[in-house]
Amino acid sequence: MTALTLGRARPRRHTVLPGFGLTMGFTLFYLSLVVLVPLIALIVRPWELGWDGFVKAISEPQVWASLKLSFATALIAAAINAVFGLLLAWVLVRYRFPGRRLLDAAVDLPFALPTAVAGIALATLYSPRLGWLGEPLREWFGVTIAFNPAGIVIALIFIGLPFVVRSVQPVLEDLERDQEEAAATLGAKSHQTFFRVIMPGLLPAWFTGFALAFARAVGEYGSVIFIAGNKPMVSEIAPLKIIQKLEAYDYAGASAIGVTMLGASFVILLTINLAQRWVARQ
Amino acid sequence: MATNSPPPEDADARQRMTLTIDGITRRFGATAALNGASLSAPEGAFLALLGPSGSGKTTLLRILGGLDAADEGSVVFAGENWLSLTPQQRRAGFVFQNYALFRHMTVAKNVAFGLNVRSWRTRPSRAEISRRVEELLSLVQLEGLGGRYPSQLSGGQRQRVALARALAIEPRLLLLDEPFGALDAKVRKDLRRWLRDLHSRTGVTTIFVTHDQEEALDLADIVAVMNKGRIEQAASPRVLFDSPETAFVAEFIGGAARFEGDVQAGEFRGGGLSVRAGSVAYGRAAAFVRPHDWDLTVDRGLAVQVINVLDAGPHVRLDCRTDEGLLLDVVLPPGAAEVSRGQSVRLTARTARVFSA
Amino acid sequence: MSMAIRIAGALFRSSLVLTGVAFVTLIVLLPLATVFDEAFRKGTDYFLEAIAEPDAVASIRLTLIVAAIAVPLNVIFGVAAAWAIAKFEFRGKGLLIALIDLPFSVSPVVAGLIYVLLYGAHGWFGPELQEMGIKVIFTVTGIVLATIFVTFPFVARELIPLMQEQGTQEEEAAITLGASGWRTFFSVTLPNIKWGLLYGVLLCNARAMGEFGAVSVVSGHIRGLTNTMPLHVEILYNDYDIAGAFAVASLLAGLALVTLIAKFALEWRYGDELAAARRR
Repeated sequence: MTALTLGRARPRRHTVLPGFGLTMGFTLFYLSLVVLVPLIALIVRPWELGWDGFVKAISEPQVWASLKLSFATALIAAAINAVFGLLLAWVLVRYRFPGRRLLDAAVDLPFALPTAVAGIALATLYSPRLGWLGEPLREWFGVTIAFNPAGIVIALIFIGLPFVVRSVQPVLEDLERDQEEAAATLGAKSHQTFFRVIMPGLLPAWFTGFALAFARAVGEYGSVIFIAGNKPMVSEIAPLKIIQKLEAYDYAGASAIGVTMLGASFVILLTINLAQRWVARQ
Repeated sequence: MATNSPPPEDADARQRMTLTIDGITRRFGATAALNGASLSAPEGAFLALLGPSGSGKTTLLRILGGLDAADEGSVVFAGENWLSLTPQQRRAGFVFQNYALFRHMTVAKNVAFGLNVRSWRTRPSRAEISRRVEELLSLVQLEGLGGRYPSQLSGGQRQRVALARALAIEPRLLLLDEPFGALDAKVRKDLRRWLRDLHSRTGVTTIFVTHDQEEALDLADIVAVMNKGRIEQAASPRVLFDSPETAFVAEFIGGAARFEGDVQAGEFRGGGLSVRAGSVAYGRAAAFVRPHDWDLTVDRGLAVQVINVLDAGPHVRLDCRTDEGLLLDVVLPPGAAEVSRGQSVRLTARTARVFSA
Repeated sequence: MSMAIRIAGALFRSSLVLTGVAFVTLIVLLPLATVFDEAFRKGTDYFLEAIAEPDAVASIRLTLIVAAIAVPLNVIFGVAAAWAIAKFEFRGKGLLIALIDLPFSVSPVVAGLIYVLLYGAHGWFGPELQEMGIKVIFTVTGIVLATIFVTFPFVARELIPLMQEQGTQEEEAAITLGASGWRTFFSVTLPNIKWGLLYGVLLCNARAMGEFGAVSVVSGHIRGLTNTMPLHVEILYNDYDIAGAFAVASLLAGLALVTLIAKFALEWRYGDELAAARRR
């Protein structure tokens, strides 16, 4: 029965298109080289100090203050962005008005503009001496934005704006009108429809946008460093502390701060992931 | 007792059989999409793989086309160890269910693709390629549409482009995956006739996958009925109809009604039906009767109640229910008898097929 | 609906729109305007001198070189990763995608830090490399590496969902018609992804040229040698040459605007294909 023994198929991996080995291999190689190995170096380095040393490095008064400042200002800025970002997304999707497209494009600017440029622009704008906004604020309200935490918050609002808007916008666009129409026929007033029908649909995306803005703001450097003032214990951000430690060759101390920030980013990422998976189940 | 058609012992016949599929198994994790599928077909056959979804027909087609690998088994085609060839070497034209036309290329470029990618040794000249494309476009009745893009064509037109593209490489084997699935009824009928005509003109061994019985029986020379990864029976439509070899085929082809019961002393009894059991041995069995095989009788046979009468067109169709609650269709020639809804009648099976359970 | 309700509705809507416009103007547009205003504060001549000054020119050149290296490398990576992820099935895909996204959520300063940890004077490989005469930190090499890190995900993020949505059927068809893997990629896949690719390149490039924090850490801030444009802006600003700093900054702002316009144009013409990429 030679016809039967001819053409015996060897069990093969289920690949149809070519190129898996090449592309996967290169991907993993590049990923390891650029991302994984450096990050491992970061995670490993603080442990030179041991656990106690690590805690000491973090709880140094100036370092701890800088971490608190970075997280607090990021949180406030993200919260403000959450409110105004939602409003902007709503206005851009639901309403037609002259200049709408321009407004839409402007939202992307913080994303495209180099951080150093934003940094010096904001510092100049809010400078109490000659700034377009800074001077009036000081003269009329006695408020100085630049060179203290308020300035940091403003810079972080700038940085985080696109995240909330761009997270909410597509969801808002996809929302089907007939649900709102049904609510209206059942007697709901507009604000009821908004809170009971529309918001629940937006919540996951809104939260994602908030978390992304927060994550971005925590580690921000370029747009903040010029307006911050950098007074120890008052207006020093954590990234600046890292740079100072590096200049003093305290690699372990710098990595301790870095790992802490990385850990926080990780937690935020995880939360976003869980939130997104929760959405998928709805 | 399921049988797979084994390769014939006769040496002459073996030479004539140019497609031999033997024991193909393909597993996805714990499930076996194909479980020892075997069949043989002569050169130039028009073969249909017919079966319910999940029967493995598309998997088998993809394995033949080189888009998937088999875990076990062998395929010999035109004397070659088919599965050891790369898709490029096989020259098997594949027509996808959703056409898979190259959206960024014109119709002409789509059709010419298989010729353009040939190595310089075997590639025809540009003029020759152009000529072939024109020829193929008229073959599929799409002359003059070479400059259009797929997005500008209707479903039926796209289907024909996909066919022309596959034919351009002068395939040894033509594989079609539910070719008419995405089209509406009228277009489907036209294309069916047209595909049959195309096959008789080109003579290429053609295999198509379908879940539509009528289509398979209408078009193909050989229909391979598939179920749970195996080929239950592969034969001409007539043979499938008259001599089903397994219970699945008997039930699947022709929409037969299924009666469960026992065979005793050469007689099947079950569900109110009694018929001769033929060669089936003593024990549990199932009997199948097709709608056309019932006769109305006055005094004997299966007792049913008529739920609905459809007296339009070339037949009279009765929806009936037996005393035991089994629903079945009966098809009678027009004017066979005056039957009305709610009436109780009796039926005798002219032909019944009985299989051991 | 009564007249009063309609007017109230219109007022409400207008106030929302105005609030939004005011917010964006205040937060985004005023800073942008500041850049251009300050750049020309001392007149056009000063502006031109500032950007023609040797150190400034050197910084422009360095910025362009860094982008010219980092962007193509990340494009190759992005295409390879998207091909592996979109056209094949394998376990751990989610993890791979998350790892690719990782640089997005890392602070730029931390991005610079990690390369110092590897290649710096007290780093893992620093001392050995120094013995071989290779310096990474405080040189252009370090800048390129840090830039690659921060712009790593851009192209891949655009291509992965796009290619996933496009599926594998066209490629399979090409294979059955006799095309080799490379031929299939160039003739079938590439034309289908070209707009997503361009979009990714645009974003990648904008970030590469504008990166500040990461580059600041690994660069030596050596004028004329290891300063990119953003770093040069910082130097000028800290030297109180405000107009000069903004002059250079305005070039970067101009790049940002060009990027936005190009992005806008691409979306307008190929919105559907790109919308799939953004819906992640």
